[in-house]
Amino acid sequence: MTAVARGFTTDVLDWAAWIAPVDLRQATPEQIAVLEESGPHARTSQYYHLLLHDAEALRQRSALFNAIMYGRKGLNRADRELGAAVESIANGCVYCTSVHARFYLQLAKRPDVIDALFRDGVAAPLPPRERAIADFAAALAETPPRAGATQVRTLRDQGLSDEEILDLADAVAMFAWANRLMLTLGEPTLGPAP
Amino acid sequence: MSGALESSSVVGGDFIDSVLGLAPGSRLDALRRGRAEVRLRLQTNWTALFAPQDFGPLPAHERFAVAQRVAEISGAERLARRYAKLAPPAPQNARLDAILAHAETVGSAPHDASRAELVRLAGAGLSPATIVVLSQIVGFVATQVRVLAALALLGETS
Repeated sequence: MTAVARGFTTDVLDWAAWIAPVDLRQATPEQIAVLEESGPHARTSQYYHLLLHDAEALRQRSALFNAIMYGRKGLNRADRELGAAVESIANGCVYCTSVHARFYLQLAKRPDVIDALFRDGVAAPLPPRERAIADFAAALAETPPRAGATQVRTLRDQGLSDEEILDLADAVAMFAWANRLMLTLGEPTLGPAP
Repeated sequence: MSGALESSSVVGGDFIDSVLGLAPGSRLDALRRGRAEVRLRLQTNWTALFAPQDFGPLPAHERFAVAQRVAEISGAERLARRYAKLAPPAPQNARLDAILAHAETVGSAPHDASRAELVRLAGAGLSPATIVVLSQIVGFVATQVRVLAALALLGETS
């Protein structure tokens, strides 16, 4: 029995589905093909096994995710990860936050930014560029989104081009989706005790 | 290759461009085309969820009704109207009510959606596969809402 993870962390977490994933022994060839495409971690992930219930939707979703988070042009990857992490904190998604705050740390080497966000939430005091990104991401995360001209102007003042602002918006938009799957189809768990 | 016929259909054209009323050659059009893979994948995700080869466990009228509801609660009026226009007639019943109530929770306050919600959906006759498709649609529309909002903002504030 693994414990449910509560509270934000950059530790590696696991995730357990609340409804039955696809039983791989009964999977169709298409489901197996999509699972293979999804990378080595997918083979043992309940999240991927669950989403395999609609294999084509999973295939397309992964393609969009990769285009948005790993696109070679435009906004640097650390800032995309920061946008994803802020959206995930705003929505209270402990699992998504653990992954993307960790990626941000690895890429940007800015533990102070993540510490502040974990301690004080998305409105935490941050250096100006990170603050501008967090403001836009948190505002776009809301339902209805309330990002406005002020946040866009602040990003431009920080030197972001419109292409880069769109890249940031796409990352936030992608995590509006990811957070909803992770939060409503299962829960984050602590890895099995060593 | 693509003629007028293809570009006039929702499946052949670009759904987001069409909702935005994006003029070919405009600044926003150029911005979107500068991210061709993202633009393409937003469209292929739309096709996978709203024009699949097989609607499987969630029929078309339920898919469009969910999309319309998520767009409405997200303040995306043009998007909601578009989904309403595309929706086949939907019989009102307890199953659709349960589906729309769940879509509303997940769309607006995903943190509040507990395990009990899924038990309720199972009680309304939804299989795990149905719940997954439903969740993908809510998530995808939540993405669309924010992509549209950002594009509209960038268009207004050049």
